[in-house]
Amino acid sequence: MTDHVRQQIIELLPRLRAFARSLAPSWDQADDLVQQTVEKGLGNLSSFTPGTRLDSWLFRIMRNTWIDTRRAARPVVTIDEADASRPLIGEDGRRVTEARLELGRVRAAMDQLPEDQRVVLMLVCVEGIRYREAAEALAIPLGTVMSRLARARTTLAEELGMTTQTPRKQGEAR
Amino acid sequence: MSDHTPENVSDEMLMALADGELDSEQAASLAARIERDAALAERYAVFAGPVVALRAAFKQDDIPSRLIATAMTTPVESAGPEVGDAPTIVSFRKRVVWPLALAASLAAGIGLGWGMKGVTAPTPTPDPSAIARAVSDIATGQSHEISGFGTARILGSFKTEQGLCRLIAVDTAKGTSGRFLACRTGSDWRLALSVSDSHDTAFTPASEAATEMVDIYLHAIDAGPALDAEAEARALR
Repeated sequence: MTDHVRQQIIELLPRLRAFARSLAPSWDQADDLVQQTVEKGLGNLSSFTPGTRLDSWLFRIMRNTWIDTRRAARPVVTIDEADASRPLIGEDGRRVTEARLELGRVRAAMDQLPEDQRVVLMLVCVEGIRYREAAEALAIPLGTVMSRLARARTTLAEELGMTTQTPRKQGEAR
Repeated sequence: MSDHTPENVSDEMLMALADGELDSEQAASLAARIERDAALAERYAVFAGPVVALRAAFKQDDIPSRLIATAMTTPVESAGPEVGDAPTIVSFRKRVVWPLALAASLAAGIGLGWGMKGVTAPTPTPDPSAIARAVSDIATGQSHEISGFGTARILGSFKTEQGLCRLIAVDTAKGTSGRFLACRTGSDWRLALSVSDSHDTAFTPASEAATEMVDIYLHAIDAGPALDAEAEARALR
């Protein structure tokens, strides 16, 4: 039983990291959160009901852990930000900077979204999890997953200037 | 089917296409319509565009090994019916069933490895017994410089069935580190166990294994808890 759960948790790690990253503002903090979650989950395995979804259960532990952590947390510089301001030696500076700024813009736009929308975007759009699975893992109705996804994406597309009035022709530079 | 008015395609359909939720036939047919219809293409871009951007912005690196290690090794609290269910992680007392001879032979093997490293070193490496002698009046937590070699630090002293034993960490000037356990026989110290912490490519599990090895050995020679400062000073006298 325990070995099986450990194996399942390892298989769920990408999903747990994605969920954590939608809560935490950097991968470092997300990974710390995943670690705490796995420790707590295994440490309280007797409170898991066999036959129910392990990912849902771990998501719940993770969200509670994150809320607890934030209550006590001091502001920190996130690694992703530090990364963005690192000097770019030996690279095609202009092109790399533009790409990095663009990624930074996407992350910033994502940060502006409400948490519940960020979570579904990370699971569905980034991790490629099916709507139905995301609904089960998050214990919300399928329709809610879809409406959150739609709202989140409309906001993102506006923020990132992906809603041009005239459709772009192929090959046309922006 | 031949109707090209965008009203017939809902936002949900466009989003489902962008998220790979449509079956291949539906997907192909809708993609073909988007291809022909600029207005539809613009609506589709609202859903598909952010997906591409998000994947690029939040791409996961390899899963850190520490997370896998956590999933593999965190002790499981089992209660009720789980108890009889052969847990993977058992208490330390239960797990240590190694006969002393086996532990000792392993210890000898490891000790030899450490010693041989010393043989190939350009500078003569002090014998662990000599290090133990040199620190025999130094309390737990204190460090001692050994010129040309590195630093020795006392991690703990234990009363065992083999007499007083001390766990000593060494950091060599060359950057390698290890721990050894020396036990006092009569007035001299002899090496009981030596483990290396550093390995060119190894990460934490290597030193965890070393820690466990030390624990197993200490248990095998029936070591009590680490002595406090006062008891240690008395024992060293």
